[in-house]
Amino acid sequence: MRDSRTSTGRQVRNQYMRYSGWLFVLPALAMYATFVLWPLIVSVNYSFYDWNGISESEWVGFRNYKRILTDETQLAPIFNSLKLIVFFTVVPVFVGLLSAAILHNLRSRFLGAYRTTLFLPQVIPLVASGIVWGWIYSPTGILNQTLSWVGLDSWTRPWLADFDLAFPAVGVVGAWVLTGFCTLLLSAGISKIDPNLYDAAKVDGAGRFQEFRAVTLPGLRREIGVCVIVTMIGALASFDIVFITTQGGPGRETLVPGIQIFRAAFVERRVGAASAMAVILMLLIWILILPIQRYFQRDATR
Amino acid sequence: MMLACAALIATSCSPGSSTTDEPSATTTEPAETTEPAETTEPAETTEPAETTEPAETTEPAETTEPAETTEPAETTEPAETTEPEPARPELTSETVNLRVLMETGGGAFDLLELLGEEFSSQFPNVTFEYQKDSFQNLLINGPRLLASDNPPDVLYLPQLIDPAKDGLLLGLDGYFEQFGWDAFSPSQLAQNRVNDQGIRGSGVLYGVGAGYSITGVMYNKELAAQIGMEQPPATLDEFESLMAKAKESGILPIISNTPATFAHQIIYNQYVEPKEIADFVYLVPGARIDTPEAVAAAERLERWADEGYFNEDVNSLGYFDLMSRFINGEGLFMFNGSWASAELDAGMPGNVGFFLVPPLVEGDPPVAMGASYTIVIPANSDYPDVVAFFYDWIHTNPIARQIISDTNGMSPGGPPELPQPEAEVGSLVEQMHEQAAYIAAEGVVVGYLGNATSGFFTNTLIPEVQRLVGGQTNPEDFSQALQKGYEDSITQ
Repeated sequence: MRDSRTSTGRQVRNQYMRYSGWLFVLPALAMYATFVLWPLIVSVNYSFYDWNGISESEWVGFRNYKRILTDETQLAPIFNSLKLIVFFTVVPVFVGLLSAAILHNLRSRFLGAYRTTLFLPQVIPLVASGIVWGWIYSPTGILNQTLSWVGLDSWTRPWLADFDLAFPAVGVVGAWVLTGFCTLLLSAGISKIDPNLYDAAKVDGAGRFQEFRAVTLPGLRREIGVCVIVTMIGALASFDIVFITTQGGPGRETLVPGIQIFRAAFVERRVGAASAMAVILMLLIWILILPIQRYFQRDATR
Repeated sequence: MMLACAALIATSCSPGSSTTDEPSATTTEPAETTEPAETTEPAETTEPAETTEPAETTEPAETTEPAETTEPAETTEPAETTEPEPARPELTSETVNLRVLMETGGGAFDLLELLGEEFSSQFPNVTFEYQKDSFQNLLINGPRLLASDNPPDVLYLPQLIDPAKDGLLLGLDGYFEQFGWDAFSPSQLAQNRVNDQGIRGSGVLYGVGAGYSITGVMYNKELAAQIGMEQPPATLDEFESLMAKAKESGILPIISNTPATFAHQIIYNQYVEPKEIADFVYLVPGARIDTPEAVAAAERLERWADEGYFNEDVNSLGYFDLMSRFINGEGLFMFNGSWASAELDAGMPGNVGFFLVPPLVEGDPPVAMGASYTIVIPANSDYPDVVAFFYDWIHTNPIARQIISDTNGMSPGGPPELPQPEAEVGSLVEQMHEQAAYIAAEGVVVGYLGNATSGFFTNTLIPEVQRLVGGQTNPEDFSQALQKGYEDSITQ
């Protein structure tokens, strides 16, 4: 009797355990399904329709996709977002690595202040950053004032209206924001690296650069992976900074898919076309990010 | 941004006899003349979506006359009506609270609130509740709010076609009959008509204007005296030679905000037949903007940019900075409209003049962009009759007309025989009223190219004008790009 009772008790407990896991996942899952999966499915569905968001929709098959993929002016923003990766990913990761390594070796009372300063851009809302940078770049802004002050009057210009320099100018804002993020993440990563490794490197006679290459860099692989992935998605899906500073102008120099999607959906009221563009952007991000994620994961587990 | 707004706002003509073959308003009217005079019902027959209209049921007895109503000017009856004159609808005596959706920004943008306050003081049973949002948000959220169960009652709506096609707007032809709006200038109302093919200019009336604007050239009188400009130029070439003279004297000829779409269209207006512009703005099939004349107009704009007649930051200057810099004496000319006149009078009193953009050939009739500040009645509004009464009052009540003039320098429209609002002698507002009357009599008022479709404006006109002014394209490619963008934005 007693045996059977305990065995059923265990069974019940096992079953309970099996389902209790779901219970913990459920709130997050429900949120994820409601705010990520469902909109995703709906967007894919919308992308096959011609719909203005209010009146009746019409099934148009792949027409929305065909229009985007065969139209130069529609594709240009995608290339712009790829170019943004230089400013949003390459620069922040390099600068972040550099400053993290320097901060690690720095013995200063002001270490905290340095870190805070570097991270500050990440704390400021992007819209506020965009507005402030708009002032900096304006014809009478601090950048032009500084240039005039050091005698470079010929260099002054309305930066965000310059067809050649508006794009890098917007890119710099992104680099400024994301460098702090990378620095913080990489600094945290460095502090996790076993100090014995650094001591060993010193004993082996490694210099600063060799130490960085042999100890810091391998130890930070996983963090670098996160930095690259997060900032790349930031570049490809960028919206706020560009919208606030240039709205895609001058001409279409700084137009990115995010602004295109917003305009198609809310200015032109072409919900289908906007959804198709969003799906294309999602696939593009997926295709680019997946191998990168694989690469960094593989290295981390090795 | 606000000039862009203005370009988008623009949906109707300024007062005046537009010669752009707009079908006369009366011909587009369904035969509703048999309507009993005291019914306040809108013409149901013209309504695309009468199923969405709960209004009539909520407005029962309309015949009870409020004792305290001060009747608006009754001079609006057209003289030529031979049939027995229908009595004008009365305002309800019930207590009504109207919800107003309007633009933020203060100054000229408070117009609807100022009108509402005056209306409440004349008709205390009607109160107003104001909800304000940015122009951008109005553009984005307007149609969605219209489609909601509880839409605002009074609303400024810059884009009519889609909401009209979707049955979100109340057709106003019934009120047109009852209030005798056929006494208004037909061309003022024509731009707020949409037919069943989604083409503007004819069909059902969906909106009226809380003021009607015209556009042209504001100039700094002090700077004009410095270059010896004694009178406004008579031709476009003469205008251009004034710019050259200013440039030589070290004066910035034109200050413009981005996008410089006004600079483009004021030239374009002088090169093509007004009907071509109207067809383009109204989305008449086959309309073109890549004609040789269009290219020639673009060439002139390109030349102005090449010669350095624009401010260096023409592609990044915002509207508010434009106004403050012009007021501070930077720039001889500025392309702007009636809505700016009250602010300019306050900022640079006595020092600002206005002229209509001169034609190519001396003596040709002037052509200018103009617009109504279009207000509509949502199909789901609970009080369409009260709102219609309010809209009629805006056009006909002397105090309301004065408020419109004082607030944004616009012309109040309404029956042409009504006295025009007063303006200070020598003020810009006074000049605007004179020029509005002049162009109504002698010239043509056209709509804004950017108003054709929002997609054309945002995706094509703005970037392409920026590129042309920035030296990134040439007049031929520019014109072709406009045509392509226009067609793309129409074919969904």
